[in-house]
Amino acid sequence: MMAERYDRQIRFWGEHGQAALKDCSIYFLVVDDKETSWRDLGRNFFVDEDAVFNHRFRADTTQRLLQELNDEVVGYSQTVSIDRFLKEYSSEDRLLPIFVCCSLDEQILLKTSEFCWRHQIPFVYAVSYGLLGLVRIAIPEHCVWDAREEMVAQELRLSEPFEELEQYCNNFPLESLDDANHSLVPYAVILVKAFKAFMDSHQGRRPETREDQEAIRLLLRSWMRTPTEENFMEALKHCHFIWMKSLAEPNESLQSILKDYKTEMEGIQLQVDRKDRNLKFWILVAAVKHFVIEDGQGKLPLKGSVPDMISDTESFIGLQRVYKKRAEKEHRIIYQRAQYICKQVGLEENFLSPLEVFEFCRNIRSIAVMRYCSLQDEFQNNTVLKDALKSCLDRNEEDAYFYIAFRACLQFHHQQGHFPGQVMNGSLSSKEPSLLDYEQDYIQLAHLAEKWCKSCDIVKNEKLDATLREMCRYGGSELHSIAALTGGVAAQEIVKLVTKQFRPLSGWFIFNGAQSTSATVSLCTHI
Amino acid sequence: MSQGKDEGKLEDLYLITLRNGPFAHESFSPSEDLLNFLWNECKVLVVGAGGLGCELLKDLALSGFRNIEVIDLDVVDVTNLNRQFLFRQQDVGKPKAEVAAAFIAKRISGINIKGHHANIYDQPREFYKQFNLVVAGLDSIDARRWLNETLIDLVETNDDGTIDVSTVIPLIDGGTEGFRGQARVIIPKMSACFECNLDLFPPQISYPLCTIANTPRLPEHCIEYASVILWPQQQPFGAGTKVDGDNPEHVKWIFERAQERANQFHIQGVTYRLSQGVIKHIIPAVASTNAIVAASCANEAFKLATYIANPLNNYMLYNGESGVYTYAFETERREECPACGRAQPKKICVSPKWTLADLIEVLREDTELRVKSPSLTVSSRALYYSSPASLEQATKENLPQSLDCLLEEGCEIFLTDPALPLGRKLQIFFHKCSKKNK
Repeated sequence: MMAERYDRQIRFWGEHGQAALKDCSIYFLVVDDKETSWRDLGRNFFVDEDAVFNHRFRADTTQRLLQELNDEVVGYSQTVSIDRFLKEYSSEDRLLPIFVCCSLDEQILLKTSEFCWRHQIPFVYAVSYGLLGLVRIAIPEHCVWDAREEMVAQELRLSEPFEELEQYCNNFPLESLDDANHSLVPYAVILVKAFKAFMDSHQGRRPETREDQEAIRLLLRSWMRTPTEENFMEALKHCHFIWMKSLAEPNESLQSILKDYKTEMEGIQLQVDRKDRNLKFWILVAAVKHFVIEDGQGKLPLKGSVPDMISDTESFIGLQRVYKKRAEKEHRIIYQRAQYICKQVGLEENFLSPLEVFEFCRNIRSIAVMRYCSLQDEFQNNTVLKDALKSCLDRNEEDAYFYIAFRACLQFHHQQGHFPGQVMNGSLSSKEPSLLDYEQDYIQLAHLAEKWCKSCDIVKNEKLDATLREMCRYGGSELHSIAALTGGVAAQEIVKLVTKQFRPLSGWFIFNGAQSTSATVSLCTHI
Repeated sequence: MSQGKDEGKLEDLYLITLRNGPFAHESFSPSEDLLNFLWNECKVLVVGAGGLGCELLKDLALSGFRNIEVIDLDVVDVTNLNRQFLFRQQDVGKPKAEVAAAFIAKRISGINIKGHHANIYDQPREFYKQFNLVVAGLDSIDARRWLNETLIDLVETNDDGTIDVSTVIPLIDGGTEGFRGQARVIIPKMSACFECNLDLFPPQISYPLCTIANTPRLPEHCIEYASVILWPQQQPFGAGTKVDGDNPEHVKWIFERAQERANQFHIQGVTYRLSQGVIKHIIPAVASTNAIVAASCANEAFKLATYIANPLNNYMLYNGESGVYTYAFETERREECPACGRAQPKKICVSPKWTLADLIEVLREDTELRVKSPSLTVSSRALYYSSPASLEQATKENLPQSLDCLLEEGCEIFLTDPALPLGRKLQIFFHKCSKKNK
């Protein structure tokens, strides 16, 4: 019954992704200390008139109305200031799986993000400001178990066949097969044979040059019984698998993950002592690393899957089995190596389940590590931020100017107690034109931005001026569709952080709703 | 806070509509008339009350649109509840459009919202004509093509041949799949329409029949075998009953037969979920992408209705699989677009010895036309009508006739189909060695 409810998303991130969400999102907590106002009714769908009439807190109302959505989830609300919440929080009672901050107050942003950084809680900041939407993610380290970046070329090891594959290919004597069976030999087998034939006729030399490649194509064509034999056409289409760089060995980014200090025994011990949230990930990486060096002769474990190819059922299933068996054998070695590491650092033997290990091995080519810059460092305008902004502007991603304008607005608010262009006293319906005039605020905002730009070595130009004026026009307003879009992006990123699938946003996402464009300011080192 | 109800609710919208800024549209003039227009005059139609539709209704209602209608043929299903947040467990089985409209009306006071539990194809032109904007959250390409052509059909021209802009109803169209999506703005006859770049939506791929029948390798092949080959042979739920992916008994039957076949061939991985996915061509759907795409569509609707900023020109791609990425670009109008351009008749080469039934089959397989049940006329003489039944009966005797008996070389025939409100002109050329696909 419940699986049915989540059917459309399980099809996307799988049963294990759904299980991760369930473990984490079994409760939610809304912290806010304001009463519900009429203005909230124009902004937020999860408040109602009853809350305004009865002076109910926004947190309580929103919690109650959100709760209706799913009775498997328990919602809580706390009507306290964020300062008090942080002071009273004790990680012993309840570990927060994710913290989302939606405040436009710079001090609250910095305080909450610092708190999360210290507790290794993934921090998501999501705000909307007029037609501008912003999302930022910050966590010291996030490990992606499966970036779901589908490999274009499958890892079939056609030019470095393992023993079982070679033996399997011997079952297909191409010359003596009858026409029907000849046209059903899987292309993987054909290419292994073509590779061997090339090596035999070239004194054991691997194909490298353009001429070599042409020689292999000619060879394949010479084996065809008819000019349109489909399995051979497929072999021709995929024959670059023979000479392209092998996926068996770790690529550059995977190499740097394997080399990381966290894969060393001392590194793992340190993580055990600190209760690092990515401990499992790093033990598994260490186990794979040992496999590559000790058992795999520099090769990663096999993935074990075979893409569909023209073939009769039996040959295809046989081929599948060869790859799967070999992969399982390698994954079991890694499981043993992982168990050994666990024992060495004093962890329970069943700290990692075999299924977890096997899943990890299958996706080894699709793992990633992201280390973010903290908001503290960023707000001191460090070099990481300067470089990130510069590279955005160099790429003509002009929405980066909105980042600068936003920072200036936060600073303006901190100094003046209101946002530039915000209508503070009196109602707009009084039609008093002076209420709407933002020229004074603009001058001050531009001044702040100018100082800011200097500290970041950015030249203040007309585009930034326009952006600052536009921000004054917004006057700290919140438009529902922009808030909904920003919230949607934040929700998506939370799913990625929890399921550890897909690569999350690498810093700030800036949506410019006036022009329907966006930019990302990357504040993260990928390894 | 001693603010009045409506003022308070509208404060953010007032702020943005009462002030000019460098990013405003060149014809923007700040005034309270803009919100008054949204409140009192502007009528929006939301097509589809599913994942996008629910979000759209909420977003539009909170963006100041007060006259909204929504149309959807479906009823609430339990698999909708993970993202279609206007529905609750007790709504399962009830019409989506009505439940959604009632929910919005309950939450947002003063709104004028109407739900139509109906098929979009059955509504007359007058129905569509009454709206200032149409926002679509549909998953079916056919329905989106139909809506696109219907709105193009409503555009009238002045005596001097120019377009009568008062008859132009902008269409904002959103779509999602997993973490990907797109939003686009179509101004009928003035900017690229859905049909201009239909190739952005490639037709569904299907597995070759010979693989399904003879050399299955994947669990999907076994499922297709059960639904495409065994089902018509065995007619397990009575003669003429078609496979219904929403009927658990049907899915179970196919799943079990597929499993038998998979066991026979030692193929692994046939599950109930996969069976249902293959039968219904289910596209994975997550709440967050719907929220993002719908919000972007609502933002465009708000910009179109107020000019506070330039509306999207005219297509925005969204991809959240690796980081968060959007790309806005202008798709170009196709001069010879069969829906909004000056299309020449589509040339069809046939062998004179083909039957009319052969021709219809070729038309149904055409990847540009993408029609399911075409009817054909030649200089207002009926060749074949696929519906209603009485006309089908009267014209089906033409089906086995050879084309050279029915048509003349180079003649123009007119194709109509439920999917294409404007129909298509075809020109028939005889060629002896014309081949049919397979």
